[in-house]
Amino acid sequence: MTNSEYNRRDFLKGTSSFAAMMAIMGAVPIRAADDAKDDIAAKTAEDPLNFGVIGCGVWGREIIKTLSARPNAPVVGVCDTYKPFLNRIKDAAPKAEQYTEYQKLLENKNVQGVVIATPSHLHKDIVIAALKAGKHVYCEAPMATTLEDARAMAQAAKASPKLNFQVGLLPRADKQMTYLLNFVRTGVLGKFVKVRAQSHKKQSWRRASPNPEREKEINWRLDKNLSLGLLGEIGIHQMDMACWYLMGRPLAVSGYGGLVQWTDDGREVPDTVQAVFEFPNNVVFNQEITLANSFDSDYDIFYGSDSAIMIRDRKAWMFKESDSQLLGWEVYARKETFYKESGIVLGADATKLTPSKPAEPKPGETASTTPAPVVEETALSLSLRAFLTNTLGTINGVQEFIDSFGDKDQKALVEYLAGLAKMRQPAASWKDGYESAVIAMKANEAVTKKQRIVFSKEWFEIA
Amino acid sequence: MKLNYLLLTGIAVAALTRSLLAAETIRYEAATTGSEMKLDGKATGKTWHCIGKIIGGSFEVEPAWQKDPSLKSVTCLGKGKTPPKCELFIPIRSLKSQAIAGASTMDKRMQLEMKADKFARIEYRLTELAIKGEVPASGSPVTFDATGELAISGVTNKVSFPITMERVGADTLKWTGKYETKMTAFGIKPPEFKLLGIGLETADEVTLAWTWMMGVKAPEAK
Repeated sequence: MTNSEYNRRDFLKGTSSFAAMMAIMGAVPIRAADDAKDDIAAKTAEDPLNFGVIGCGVWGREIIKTLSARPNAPVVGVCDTYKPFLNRIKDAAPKAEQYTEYQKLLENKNVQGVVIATPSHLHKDIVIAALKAGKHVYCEAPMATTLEDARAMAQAAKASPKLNFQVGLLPRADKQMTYLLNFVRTGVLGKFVKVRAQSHKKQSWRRASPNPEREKEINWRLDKNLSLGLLGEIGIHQMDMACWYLMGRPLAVSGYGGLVQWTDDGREVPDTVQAVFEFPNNVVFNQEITLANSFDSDYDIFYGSDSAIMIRDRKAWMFKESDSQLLGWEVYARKETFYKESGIVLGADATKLTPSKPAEPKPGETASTTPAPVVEETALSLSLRAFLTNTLGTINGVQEFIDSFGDKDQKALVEYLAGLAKMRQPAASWKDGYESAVIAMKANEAVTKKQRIVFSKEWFEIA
Repeated sequence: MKLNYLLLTGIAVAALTRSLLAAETIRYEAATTGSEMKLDGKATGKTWHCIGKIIGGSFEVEPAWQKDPSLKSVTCLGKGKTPPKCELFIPIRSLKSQAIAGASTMDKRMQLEMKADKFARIEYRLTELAIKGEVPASGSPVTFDATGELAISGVTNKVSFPITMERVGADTLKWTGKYETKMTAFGIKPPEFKLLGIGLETADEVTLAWTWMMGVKAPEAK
């Protein structure tokens, strides 16, 4: 898609009156629709899916912990080449078989889906072997660090339509972001003007290690030959979200940056970067990431001619222009002040008429007037949940088809699964993962070479 | 000797009968693509839709069905006659809610209410088929009154509805039909549930509308 201008009428035609009503009422449904605590949901619990996790570093352990919290996501196999990492997950996955070679884990017939959380440059061989072994694959983002690797993985995923393949681009599986996207597509921003995203931290990004050999291995992100740097490893999520919301790919990217803060530890990857992406219709997406200053942390802002929407910590606010049309519901919406601006809270329950319920008093305590703390499911948990649901949907879909018609007509089976894919839980597909990886690679290259790179259509072609 | 003779005769007669019977019917089998079952209902005044793309089963009928588009020489049609052997099934898990929000919740709830763990399929068996109106000169489309047994959630009801058959090429049939019923007729309690914190009450009435594609089964390779 080359034109990111959105046609509001097309959107409204494609949504139900219910959703439109929700949007108009101002109960912008950025909260997850499926309430996991629903008692009926408990009675209709999903089947289990046996997981294998390859790569048990910091993020891999977070994944194992998140899976272990789900009732139907047993981790039955874990793999890492570094044995101390395997020892650290014995509590979170006590029944998991432990492996130091991923090939052995993939031979385990009990493993149905694998999560690949190794360093990004090692994804390719594991992903292709996993698909070959008939495993459903969740691959962390970025999918790969070279165009050749990403393309080979995308080709393998495309050639395995009976297997679910998801890339860990978290906002894609976050229902809050999906609902917010639907709200944006009602045309509430007016004409898209620009997008800005930042991720500010004061941290070295260097991980502690027991010896120099391990130090090099564990700090692969700081090696310019192995890593896509800040834009690829941190910025890819915001980058993908901008493309998703703008409904298109950038035409060109210019990169700036270098080592500003962490200049004396021998690293090669810049600690402060800026990428300026040019989109159709003169819309510019400006992305800034630094490890040298934490001010204002992380956020995305979508600017339109009628209003701007800011997203931070998975919450959103709308800032209206004084000359924009009155929608009506915003009169009743809760507002929060940001310096001199008043932000309309975008969220279900955001109306002033429905205050949050106070917390239930403990025995012996008097009733509290403090609102109940909201324990929200993390973006990672939502992403893994989408993988779980979609994988089970794929497995059931294959089974239903074969039980009904046998397995001779593979073309029809693939067509059937493609139909089911339209009803999947929102999540990043191999195509989303591939495109975001390509964009991140070129953005990183633009920073490294300090130049403007025009995106070639061929880079996005799989075959 | 006499016993052997009788035995051989019996075997020969049985084999002949079987081959004659086999020759007397042609079998259409459900196509793997192109079919659709749609369930429509209402929940608190709003419509809901569920769509399934798998309709399995078969239709066995005398060869005249294919050779004589006027259907005049087809003997199995009409009241009191043994109809074509037609059996159809739909896996309940293949029915997917078309809601833009909470679809998986609705699917799971539907499967629960339809006792999908015990009765995994909606099943239908034809018991009578009669032409309704005139058969056009082209032989297509033809409308029939169909009577049969519909089994949902372990409850089997006798049901009647008009269905239309279209001939799509020489070997393919397309059946379309619509049937209005009530969930409670099959022992299903119309569910109440919450979406986005809003309580929804499902109405008892539900409409089934389908397109069922089938093709003549090709002879098995020997």
